[in-house]
Amino acid sequence: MSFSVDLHVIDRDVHLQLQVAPGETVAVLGPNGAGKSTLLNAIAGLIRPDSGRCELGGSILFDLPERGTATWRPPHQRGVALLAQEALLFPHLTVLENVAFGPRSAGIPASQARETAAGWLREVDAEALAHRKPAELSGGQAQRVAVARALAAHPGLLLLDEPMAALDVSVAPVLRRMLRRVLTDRSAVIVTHDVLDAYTLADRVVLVEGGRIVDEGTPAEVFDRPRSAFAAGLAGLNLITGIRRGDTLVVDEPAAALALTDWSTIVEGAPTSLAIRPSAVTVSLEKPVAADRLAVQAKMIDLEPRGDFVRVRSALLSADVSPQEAAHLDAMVGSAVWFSFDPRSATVY
Amino acid sequence: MARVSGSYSGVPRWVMILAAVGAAFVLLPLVAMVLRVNWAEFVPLITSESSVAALLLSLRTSLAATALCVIFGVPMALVLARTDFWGQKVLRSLVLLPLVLPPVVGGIALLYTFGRRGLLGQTFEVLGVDIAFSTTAVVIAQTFVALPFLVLSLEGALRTVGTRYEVIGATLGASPTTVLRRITLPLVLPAVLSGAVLSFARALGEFGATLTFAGSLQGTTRTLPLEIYLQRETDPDTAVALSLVLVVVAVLIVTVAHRTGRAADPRAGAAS
Repeated sequence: MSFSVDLHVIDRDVHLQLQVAPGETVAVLGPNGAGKSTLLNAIAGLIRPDSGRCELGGSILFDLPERGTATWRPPHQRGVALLAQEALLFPHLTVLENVAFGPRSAGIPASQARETAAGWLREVDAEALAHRKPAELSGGQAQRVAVARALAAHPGLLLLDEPMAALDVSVAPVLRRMLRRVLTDRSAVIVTHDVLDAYTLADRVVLVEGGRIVDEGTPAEVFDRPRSAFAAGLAGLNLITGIRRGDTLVVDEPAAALALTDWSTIVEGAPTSLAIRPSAVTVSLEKPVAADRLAVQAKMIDLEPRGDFVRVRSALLSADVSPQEAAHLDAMVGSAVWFSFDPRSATVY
Repeated sequence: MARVSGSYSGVPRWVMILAAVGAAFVLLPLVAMVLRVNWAEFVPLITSESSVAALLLSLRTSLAATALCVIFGVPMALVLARTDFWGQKVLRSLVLLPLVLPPVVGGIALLYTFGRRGLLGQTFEVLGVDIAFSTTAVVIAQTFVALPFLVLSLEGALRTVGTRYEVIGATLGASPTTVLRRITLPLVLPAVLSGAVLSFARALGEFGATLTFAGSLQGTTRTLPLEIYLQRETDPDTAVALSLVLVVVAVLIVTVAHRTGRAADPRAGAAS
């Protein structure tokens, strides 16, 4: 079903507009407090925006004009199912009864509802759990059942609020694959922090910051050539923006000059972005001698352990180095070191 | 919950001593009473006509009062826990007032509400109903003092459970009534049961409001506590025997409430 929402919540300074085409999955990414939860809650009917309008498959979910008659459909009449971070299975019902809850609420007779529920449990590979109580399930199993329960209610729109965030990293991939399967041909909005979710699940990405949409496009458009520091940060890329002056990319803040050879279609004086993965950047105390490496000197701000590597940060560039290298650099924090990379591994646009 | 003996408890010795004194303070009077029971005459004493009448009346009225507490107390707790309106805090304290009010004062207040010359008395008189000094008055007095027990325990449970499950239920298409029936009430069932048992116990022990508002007519308004109080003057043996009956009933209630409360707790799955 096609879906559109335009909502304004004054006290949280949220003003968002969003369309979802039939069968499309839209990922909404943004920092905490950007308005993502407000968006989902308003669509589900849990909070009432100050003004706005929302339609799903031709029927009005809410219509709250600045003045005039307001329309407000309560949550249970919206056909919008919500999948939260936690599975929130009803603890007093078995897995099968949980999944049959939606069909039962729609007035379908118990036996038929249980059949439907069993079908959805098969769909998420949780048939064997049908007669267990939620307390007997692992986090990943519970979330799979929650997906089945949401889908069994036949929602016109499925809302997913960071469905993988509370799961163990070892379980998340299985659920992600399952979601990719069930979200095909289904209208859905997924709020996430994870770029991987956006790449694997979404047809389109919307970036929200400070209650406004700041960027949108396909995952590749938004993340491969990020247009903002925020998008670059999500995609895990260094983003350097400046202006082409001759064969040099001149950066204002922090002041730097990078000599490039391959400018593709960028003309003199045009604003230019350069994106590069931190893993492609190396750090050295002396200027690298290799002629094909682009080197800039920058003050090392700090070292940030990230599991099996360490991120070396400066105002201009970040680099991922091994813990051994980081140990050598530790004494140099606060002083200038050389960051270098092969220009061929960077994207200039 | 099995406690490993010898594990560190962290309770200082002096706290244990004070706790023991407190426990003795509660238990000793019971022991003293049991020691005074005239066992030879026990059965005839508690099966005398007036005793049986009082006992049956007490059970009947307390059950009726408990039913009324559930019928009105559950909605009250829901409204207090789930909605937000102006003056709610004040209303909550007022509704819970019978908890701290001397029962005699409650009885007087009821008399001026439902009594013949009371606020609603005229209305009832037109309908041909005379409430004061009837069995209905006993039930009203008991409901008045017992209602806050159910409201209080249930409201707390509703707040603890939170609205997360209810929200999910609504987004799955369940109407508010369906959510209440299939999610909210099953989740707080232990609290409803223990609240009802507390209310029943409070109703069973009701004395002051009943005496003031309903009087003490044998078979009509003379409940067990009233009977005990009356017999105390003339026939202490009967009073003690009936008191023991009340104690036994109270112990049974507490045990049953504890059992059902635990068995009905949906979070205590088979795995735990």
